Formats: sequence, structure tokens, C-alpha cells
Amino acid sequence: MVRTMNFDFIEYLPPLLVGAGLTIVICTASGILGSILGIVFGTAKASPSRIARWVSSLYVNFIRGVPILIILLFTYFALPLIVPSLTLDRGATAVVALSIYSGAYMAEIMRGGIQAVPKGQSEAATALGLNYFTSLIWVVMPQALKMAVPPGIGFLIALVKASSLVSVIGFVDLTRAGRIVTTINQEPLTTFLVVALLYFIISFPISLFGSWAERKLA
Amino acid sequence: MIISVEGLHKKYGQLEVLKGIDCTVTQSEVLCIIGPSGSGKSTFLRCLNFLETFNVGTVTICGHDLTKSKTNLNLVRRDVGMVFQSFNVFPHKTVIENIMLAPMKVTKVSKAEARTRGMALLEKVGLTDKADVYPRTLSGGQMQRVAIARALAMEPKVMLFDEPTSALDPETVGEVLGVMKKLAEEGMTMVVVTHEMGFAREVSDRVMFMDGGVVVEEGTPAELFGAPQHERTKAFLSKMI
Repeated sequence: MVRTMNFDFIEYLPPLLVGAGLTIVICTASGILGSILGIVFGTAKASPSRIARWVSSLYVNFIRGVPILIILLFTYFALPLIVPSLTLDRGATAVVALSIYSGAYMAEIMRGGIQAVPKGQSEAATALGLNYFTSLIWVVMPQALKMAVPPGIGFLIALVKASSLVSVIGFVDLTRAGRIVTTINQEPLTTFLVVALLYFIISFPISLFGSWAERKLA
Repeated sequence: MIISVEGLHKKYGQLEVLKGIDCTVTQSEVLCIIGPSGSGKSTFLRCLNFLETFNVGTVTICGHDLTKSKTNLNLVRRDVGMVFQSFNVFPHKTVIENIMLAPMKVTKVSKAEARTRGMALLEKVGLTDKADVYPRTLSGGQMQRVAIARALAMEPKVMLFDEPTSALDPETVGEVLGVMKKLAEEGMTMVVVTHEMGFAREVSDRVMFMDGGVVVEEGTPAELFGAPQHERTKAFLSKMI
């Protein structure tokens, strides 16, 4: 018997929307935290301090070389064994793991942005008597952030999709909500189509924002 | 003596670009440095505010000894303004904000005070009508005049110019040289690396010819342009005219 599409879907939509909401929450939180980490480590990576460069390179290279799935599993199952007091719930684990992951990629994007600012800019600031941090904050950073927006937006879209992996630690995000719904309604075709559509509805506005920001900043 | 340089040596790895420069500049003097590309003249200028480090020698500028490790370079740079070949105006700030930035962030001048002073400087370089536009709408000559006003905002005692007109369209060179000439007439101490022989001849008190990392010859414009002593100077000047 061929299953037909079940359009009487209204009763299964609410759990999917809750999952979508949670996906938005963890992506927003880890996007913000990851950007902050990225700015800090990216600045360190482009700094004249050898120690700062070394520490941030270690972080960036290590995290980029490890699957995000392992970062998630490690944060959830292994971290409490090392630091017993640090028992995070599923949502917090998801945010911590995704932030650490995003931070590494955002750091590379920020470093690229800082290094793309012509050297003459910081030289002019230096010649005016601005110290390293004043020059960084008022002259280099505003220009670097501008250049980091397009690749940063691209990464955020990738983050939304990568966040579907948090279902492995049992966090009920959009993907896991979809799987739970299919076990009840036995309708994988419609359910996953709706899940896919919801992911698209979340990520497409980010692309739109990206093209708008790119035009605005150009 | 505002600037005093003794036995300045600078190496990039194995390549020695400055091979022992001695130089003094007195109050209100305008010194022009001329010479072929790669002669070390820009490197020398950049050593004067320590944008470039050096290996051997002493530089004393506005009473600061750059070789002493406890000298606060940021304090030195407040006294020494610099204008670059590539302007280096800040593209994310308006013209007036470019000028206000250093006084506000370095010497903690109030915003209103910085703006008043900035507008006075824009009047001096003839750009009051451009105060609130972004630099990308300006011509090269206008950008360079903004850069000069920005350097003057810190009320420097010395101004360094690193080929200020080399990146300009010929028709805007005059407006920048005009501003520089006015500055010289007001008594500003200036060191100018330039290829503008007309400016060097007309405005400077002394001209220094550099080649291969050494000062080949120096003198008044009349001496250097009228009766150059060295073959290398003669050869260079004959090519420039």
C-alpha cells in the first residue's frame, strides 16, 4: 500500500514549531557567544603578542580539526567526569559546544578581516599617537568587522544546519522533534518536508540580512 | 635643535638600507630629502617617529631620545605629525571625525572643542564644505589635505611628509603643495621626502640628496640645484629636469 500524504497535519505542527523555536534559541545564543569568542581570538591571532597568537592558534586549529559531534558528546558526557561540578543540561551543553565550535571559525574570519585592513591605517593611527588598543578599537576593528560580515553571515547559516547535530545528546531541537513526530504519525514524507521547510525559513532571512548588510556596508 | 640624528644604521635582514645617516634640523627649518627610489629616504623619515626601528645610531626629536627604552613613543608621536604617500585617511569616519579622533582619544579633548579646532584646520586647508562627508567622495588632493589637517590637530612641533604628492593626479598636486607652503611660511618645522623639485627649490631651507643609504650631498637649494658637487647628484638632477 502506498502511503498518501497526510494533509491533516495541524496536530503535529506544534511540536515541530517548538523544536524550531529551540533551534533558533540555541543558534542565536551560540552565534552571539561564538562571535564574541571569534572577535577575542581573532584579534589575538592578528596581534603582535607571540603568546596570544600561539594560544589562539592552538584553539582554532584544534577545534577546526575535531568533528562537532565529538565536541557535543565530549561536553555532555566527558566534561562532567573531569569537572564533576560542571553538569550542564542538554540545552546549555548544546549552546556551549556550538559556541566553542563557532568561536574557532569566527576567529579565522575576524583574523582575515583585521589583516585585510591596509597597514597604512594602523600606521596613520600610530603616527597620531594612538596606542595599540585605541588604534584597534577606533581604526582597525570597525573596518575589519565590515569585511567580516559576509563570511560571518555565511558561517551563521552553516551553524543553523550544524545545530541539527545536537539531537544526539537528546536535546529536542527541530531535527529531533521531527524524528519524534514521525515515530508517532508514521508520516516521514510530510514531516521531514515540513522540517526542511522550517530550516529554510530560519536560514533564508539570515542570507537576506547578509545581502542587505553587504549592500549597506559597501 | 628639533631633530638630531647621529650614525643611523638600518638593516632589513642582510640588506643595509641606511648606512650611517647624520642630520640635524632646527626650529622652523624646512628640509627636503630627494633621491632615487630605494635610496632609503622614506625609511629614514619613518625612523624619525619610530614607525621603523633602527639598529645603530641615535635619534633625538623634540627633546625625546628614541634610543632610550623608557621613552614613551606615543608621547613622541604627539609632537611629530606625519603625512603619508597613500593618505591613509580613515574611510569609516567623516572628514571632521578623521581630524577629531586623535585629539579626543589621545589628549582627551572634549568633542565640542575637537570639532571647533577641526573646523579651523579644515578652513586652513580649504575644505570646510567637506566636513561631514566620507573620504571616498573626495579627490586624492582633498584626501591628502584632510590627512594634513588630521596630523595638525595634534598640534605637532614637527611635520614629516613622506612623498605627499606622489600618488596624486597632476592637477591636484598644486593644492597640496600650496597647503604645505603655507605651513612652512607659518614657521612649521618640516621634513619632506619629495620628487617635487620645484617645491624643494622654492620652499625648503636645505635640501639633502640621498642615494644608496647615505647622504651624498646637502646644502641650500641654490647650492644643491645650482652647483651640485657630486657626480651622483648631477646625474640624478639631470634626469629629474
